Amino acid sequence: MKKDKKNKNNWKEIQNQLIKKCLDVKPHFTPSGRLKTTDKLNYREVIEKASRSMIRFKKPTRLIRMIVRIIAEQVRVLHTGVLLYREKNNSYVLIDSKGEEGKRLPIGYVRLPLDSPLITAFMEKKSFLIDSHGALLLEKITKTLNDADLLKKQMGMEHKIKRLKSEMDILRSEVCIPAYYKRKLLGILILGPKLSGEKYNDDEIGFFATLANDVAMAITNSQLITSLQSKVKEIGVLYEKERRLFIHTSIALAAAIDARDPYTHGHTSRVTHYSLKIADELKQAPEIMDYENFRETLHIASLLHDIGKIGVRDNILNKADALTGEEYIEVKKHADIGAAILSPIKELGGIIEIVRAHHERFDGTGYPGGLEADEIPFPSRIISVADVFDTVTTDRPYRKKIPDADAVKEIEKNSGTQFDPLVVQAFVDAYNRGKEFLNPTYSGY
Amino acid sequence: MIKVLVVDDEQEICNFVRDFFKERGIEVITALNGEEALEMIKNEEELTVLLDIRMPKMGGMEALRRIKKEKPRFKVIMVTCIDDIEKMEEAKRCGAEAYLTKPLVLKELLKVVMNNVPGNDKSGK
Repeated sequence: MKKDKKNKNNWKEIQNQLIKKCLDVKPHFTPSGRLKTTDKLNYREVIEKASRSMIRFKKPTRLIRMIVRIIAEQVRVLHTGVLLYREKNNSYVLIDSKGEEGKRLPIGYVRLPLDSPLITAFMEKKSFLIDSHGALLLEKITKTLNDADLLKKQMGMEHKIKRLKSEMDILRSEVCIPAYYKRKLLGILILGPKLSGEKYNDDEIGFFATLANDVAMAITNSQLITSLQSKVKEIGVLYEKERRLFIHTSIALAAAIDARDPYTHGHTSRVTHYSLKIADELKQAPEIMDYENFRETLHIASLLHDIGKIGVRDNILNKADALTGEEYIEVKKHADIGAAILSPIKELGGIIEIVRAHHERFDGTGYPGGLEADEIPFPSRIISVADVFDTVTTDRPYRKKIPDADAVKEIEKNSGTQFDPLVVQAFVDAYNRGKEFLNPTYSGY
Repeated sequence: MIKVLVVDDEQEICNFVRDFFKERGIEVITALNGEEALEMIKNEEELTVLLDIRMPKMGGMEALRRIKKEKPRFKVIMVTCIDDIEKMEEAKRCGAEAYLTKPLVLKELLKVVMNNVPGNDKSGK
């Protein structure tokens, strides 16, 4: 939004500067305050410069508006206007006009359908009436109709030519100039009679024809940009859909793990909640380059962190008493099993290693790899704190839960040994925010 | 003699249509809203009315009903900027002879007006 506004200002400034520059060269004004058309090249220079700089702007209608204004003022015509093809109307619609009121065509009021004589003539480009610049001149049409010999040569064309003349009359147009882009008719510049009564000369018409095609290019460019933008948007929507599918699949998997372990009911969603809350305190951490991306990774990793428990036998997982040494070794395998389960999903990328490392300890005494400090993926260090906090604050068959405040103290005590101090600090900060942290409402955000 | 009343809240359109018809030998009077239009038709014998639907101070639909009540012989052509089928049906029910959508084709405008001259019954519906 802001950028757009800036462009607008820039554009106005360029336009004003150009016009000022033009005025500076030959300041001849009529009593009405209008500029005298003393130097024909002057207004052309203004228009040319503007249209060149305009290619970069998003809205070619601004360029058209300026051109129409300058033509009305500098060429001094009774009226002038621009018809542009509009898909909505399947017609060429008048989008801008200037000139004497009553004589100029009201903007938005007039259109030409595709089968109108003028449009057909420009689309076919075959009529002998079209001059070397591609334009149609009323003068030439009238001359032809008044010349019996010429008409004879154009056998059967009289009716068509009459219709063409009638249409140009209706538009009060003396000259019509087409704007093409790659042979496609995008619009028409309508020039009414000059106030001076002079005819348009060949040189002028050539200039307007070139100009019309420059404008056609500007229009095409802007349409391309618009369609690109909508494509990007479309892709964004598709990506979002896929992303949600991914997250919802992860949630479903997480639910499967929770379902197997009745004692830890809701553990996964709580750990996910705590992990994300801790991450919210770490937005400025040097470990995090792109926060949104990081949060997403953490989100999925925490949902999947215990997925390896699917591979641990029920009688161990659901055991009501403390585990034996051997059983404990079995349970510890869930970290590697989880990584192995997820490994075919290449799209998970680093998430697999995060899952594997969620029981590593900061001092290097954890499992399965005995990684330490920076060797442990940062998201694993967060999940590790969240995991422990939830484990000790919920009842287990072999021990009672401890109060939240005691759990926090416990975690703080293990800062630097079991846990990354940076994460512990973030955890404490999140905990101190109160309610929001302690009331997990996670439902797949 | 054909006479047209152009009713549109945009002065520019009134002026343009007036000049456009004048150049083709058709007399035109203009009004900026329904109220003004009703005032103007009082002393008219035969009129073709070009009526914009959306206007402040009595819109086109209301004006259409009143014109048809007071001057059933007048021909009324509705003009609007939206292709609203419901409005079109309603206008037809209220007795409008034709319906044009903006932006319009000037040639059609001319044709529709010429086909809807009171007393001259070959209405171009």
